[in-house]
Amino acid sequence: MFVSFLSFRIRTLQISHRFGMPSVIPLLLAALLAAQNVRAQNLSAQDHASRGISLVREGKLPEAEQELREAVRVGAGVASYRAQLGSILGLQGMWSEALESFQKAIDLAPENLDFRRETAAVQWQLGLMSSAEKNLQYVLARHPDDPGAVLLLGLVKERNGDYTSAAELLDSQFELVISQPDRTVALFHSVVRSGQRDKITKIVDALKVRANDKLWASAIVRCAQIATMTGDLHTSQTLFAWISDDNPERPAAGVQLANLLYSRGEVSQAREFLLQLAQQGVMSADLQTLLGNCFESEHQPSLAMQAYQRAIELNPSRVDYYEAPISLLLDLGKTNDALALVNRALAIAPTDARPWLWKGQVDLRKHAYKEAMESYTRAGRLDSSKADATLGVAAVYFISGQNDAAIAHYKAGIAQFPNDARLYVACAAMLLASPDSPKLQAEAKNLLQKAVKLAPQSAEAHYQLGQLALQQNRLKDAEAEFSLSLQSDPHRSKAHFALSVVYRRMGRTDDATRQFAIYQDLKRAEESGTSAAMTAAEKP
Amino acid sequence: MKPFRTSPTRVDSPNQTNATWSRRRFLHALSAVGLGHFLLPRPARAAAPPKPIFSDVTAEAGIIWRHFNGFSPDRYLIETMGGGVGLFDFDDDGWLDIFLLNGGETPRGRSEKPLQNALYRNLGNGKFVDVAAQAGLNLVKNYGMGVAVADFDNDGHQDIFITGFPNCTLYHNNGNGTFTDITADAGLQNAGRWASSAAWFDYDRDGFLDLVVCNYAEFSFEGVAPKCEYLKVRTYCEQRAYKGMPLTIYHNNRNGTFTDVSRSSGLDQFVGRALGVVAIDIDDDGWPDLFVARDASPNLLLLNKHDGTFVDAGLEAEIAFDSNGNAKAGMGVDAGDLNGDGRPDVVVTNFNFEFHSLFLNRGSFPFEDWTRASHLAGFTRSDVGWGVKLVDFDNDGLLDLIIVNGHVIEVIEALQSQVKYKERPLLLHNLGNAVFEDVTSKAGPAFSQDYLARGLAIGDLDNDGAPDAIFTCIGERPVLLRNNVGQKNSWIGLRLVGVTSNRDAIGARLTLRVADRKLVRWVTGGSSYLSSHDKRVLFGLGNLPANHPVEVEIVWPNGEAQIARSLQINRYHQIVEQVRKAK
Repeated sequence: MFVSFLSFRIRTLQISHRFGMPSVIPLLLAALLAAQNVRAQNLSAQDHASRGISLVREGKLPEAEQELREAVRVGAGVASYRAQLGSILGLQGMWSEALESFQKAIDLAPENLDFRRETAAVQWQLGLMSSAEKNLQYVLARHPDDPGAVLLLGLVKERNGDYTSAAELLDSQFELVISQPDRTVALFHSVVRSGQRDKITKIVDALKVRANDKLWASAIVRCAQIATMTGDLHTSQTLFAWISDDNPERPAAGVQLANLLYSRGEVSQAREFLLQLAQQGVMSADLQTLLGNCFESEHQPSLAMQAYQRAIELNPSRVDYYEAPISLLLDLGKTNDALALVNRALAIAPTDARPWLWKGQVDLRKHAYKEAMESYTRAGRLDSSKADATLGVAAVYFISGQNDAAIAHYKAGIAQFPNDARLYVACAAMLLASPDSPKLQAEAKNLLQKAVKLAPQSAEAHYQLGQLALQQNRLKDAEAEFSLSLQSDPHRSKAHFALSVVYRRMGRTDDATRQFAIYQDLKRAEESGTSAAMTAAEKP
Repeated sequence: MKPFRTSPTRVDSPNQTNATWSRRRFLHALSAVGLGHFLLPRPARAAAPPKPIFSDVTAEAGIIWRHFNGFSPDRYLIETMGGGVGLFDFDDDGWLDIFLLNGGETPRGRSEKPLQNALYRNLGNGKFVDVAAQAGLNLVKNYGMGVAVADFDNDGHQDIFITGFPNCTLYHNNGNGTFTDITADAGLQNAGRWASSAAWFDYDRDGFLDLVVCNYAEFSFEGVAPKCEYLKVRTYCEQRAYKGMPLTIYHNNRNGTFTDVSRSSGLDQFVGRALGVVAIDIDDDGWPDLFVARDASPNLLLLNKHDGTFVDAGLEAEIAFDSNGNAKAGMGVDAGDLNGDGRPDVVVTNFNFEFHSLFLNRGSFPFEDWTRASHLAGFTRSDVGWGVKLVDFDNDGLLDLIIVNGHVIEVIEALQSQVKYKERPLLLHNLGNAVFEDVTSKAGPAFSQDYLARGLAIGDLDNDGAPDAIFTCIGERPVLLRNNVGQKNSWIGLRLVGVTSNRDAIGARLTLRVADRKLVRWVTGGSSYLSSHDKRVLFGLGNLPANHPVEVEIVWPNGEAQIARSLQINRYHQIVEQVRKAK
């Protein structure tokens, strides 16, 4: 029913959303059929309609539109002319007018299933999913096996986030789906999001066959990105391999894939991949930043710094790229260099809260607590929507030894930002670190449990819950929490240490020894950065 | 201020009675016969203010010596670390004397006058006189750190081992008020190392004291010192700027010489920044173990394996690191039974915001971190602690805590509003079950002043049964504290003399049972920071009636047990090790 030549037209239209417009040729055919049943006194209207259809075939859509408008004017009571006009308007991307025209067709012929189906297509295009679904359910109630309606309903479900239904519907029309890139992407997305990974292979196989078809290039990129976003590394790598070097979307997709590798702890693989992309001429600040992250993870701060500098050079006016190098310089104890970079960021974006947050960090490191307080306060005024400034101010209180003030500030922050898990975690950590912590355990536990509900992946929340369990000698609970913490962040020496303590108490000596060895390695790496700072002229 | 009492309470065997009168008893007796009111000052109508727990008697004792640390623009870390003191009876006259070890000069920190150590001889009347020159102890041969006193050759006289950089020194007590430097002959130079605390203990139970030496860090006055700043002010670098060193342990060959057995004992593998050490039988197997406090290095619990080797059980005991896997800045350490269960517990002083640690020995691993439950965390949050001693200052039978503090960063007050550069000492009273209350405000004027305190030694300088104290201060005079309250409760003191065990009986365990209480004390080696203490053991007995005799079980270092019966309280007794005849 849907023909491919119309997709060529569709790409000439500026469609902001992902998927193309289903073909309206069947609509036109239906409209034509309807037109042939009109009485003879509307022959001039019919002439206009016929001429319009011919013009469509010639690709002369504005002229075709004029003909159909005339047909509608002369034959106002003929539903098919309205439908045909709607199709032509749709082909030109005039979706709202198209919908209006189709609605009037339905008003004139409410039982026409074709009109309903095409109206649903336009409604889907306009994002009117509920209305589209109503029309499609009308069609399917009378014609359950209507392939077009099934397919379109699948697309609607996909857009609505009902991925399970979408996957089922689209998969039932697999041959139709894989005839068009956008539908294939919709199916892939639905299958991945609904966890029906068993269906991925046949989609990937279908894409493989079409890998060299330029019409499918964008779809392959999008499927690769979906796989990356949902953490399917293998599929992501497979699809990425089919993205041609000259595809303008390849760099971004590549960086996303590298990011997935990095987040999986495959740091060296991510680094290699990024270097390959860079050697292939990809000039991307995001790439350089991620490359810097890789070098940092591998404890190569000089190389990391070079990568971060390149990112800034590629896009010096974007403040985002300053964060990582500033953080690294602080870790290295190069506070003055960090401050210089902060000042550059401030010059670029003086009303952006982030440089002020970074300045606060630098001030803290220089023990300039008054300045740190001013910096964080200013950041809070510039952006009161996030808790970062609140966290900063509380940190100033904490580092300067004013624990009670820090706790009070965290609690105020929780009231203001009840959904920011970091505040709960930081407050709980402060309570547990205080001299009176035995009396405060219940309160700390309550805060941590809330943090975990908000951020189930919070490594620190699970770590602190583990410490609570350990203090109460609930060893199984402690083991579980520390393990969860390490799942989120396997590089935290303290979590490995704590787990070694648990295992030692359990009598699992070998496990304890292994965890302690990991802790020692990580601690040495952490302290080598600290000792680099120690030998600097400035004190950390 | 009142001088020390003039009663030379002798240390006798249980069979001798001592009718010596203290001044106080004399005056009371006069009063009882009605004569006192002629001689005693008329009591004032208003009640006299309560005496502070401790009085600062430094000046009236005649102690004028001052520590020199070689303070220099280069800020060598050693400048802020030293200050050892030893309390011991060097001339066997029954009165504890005071040895004060000087620091030393640095390349750009020179003294206008020649530096001297001090040996203050106790005259028995509250006064002291410096006889270091006559004794041969006055010369500052190295940069001095710590003092460890013991009778290493069992000749009945206390010898002195001095730690420091770049060498250590052993002085043999000649028994006539003089000392001889026998370091080279003895083989105890510990050459090239920066040594801190040391402890005498008989690790192989052969009856002769061996020696463990804590070494702090790789160090030199040559080259450029690590440069660190706070707020653009040059200051001392953190300890992590200096690499740690292994421990040294010497075996006493019983002929005046020692053998370095660091390697064969396994102690040389423990590389870190060791500052404090106490030798005590932690696991109650009759063999002395070592607890080593280390600075930003994991603490060590070295268990004696009875074969000349040690194994570190720090991880099993959970005393090596804090809960986050960080090694605290362990400086001073002491061990004793804080909760009355008969097992030695451990206190370690640390840096500000780390809390000084208290580990309860539960008889199995892990120890229980009792830092917060004891309230020690709250009391010590802002302090940088050094010398620490478990001492029953009020003789109620519970061991209390004295801790001396002082920071290292001169500008710390500009960085941390709640931390001070010079800090006050702490006096913490044990309420039972190792929970403490802070009685510093009642401790006396010395406890309301701020110091850069370091070493702390405890001893009964006036033989009145109330333990006194002395602590050292960087670049300043020490502070000598007389205890005013311990005499109000009953007490008993024991001086042990080993025969087959080492003469000082270091390693002995004493148990006193009275009513429903069991008091356990040890003669430990080392403890506190850089300091050496009165080896007599005091038991506080609370309000036990004066005519209530007690008995004490002694387990000597060689493992043999002995019971001393019918001991009169409120006096010292000398207990000599019974030697069982061979069958």
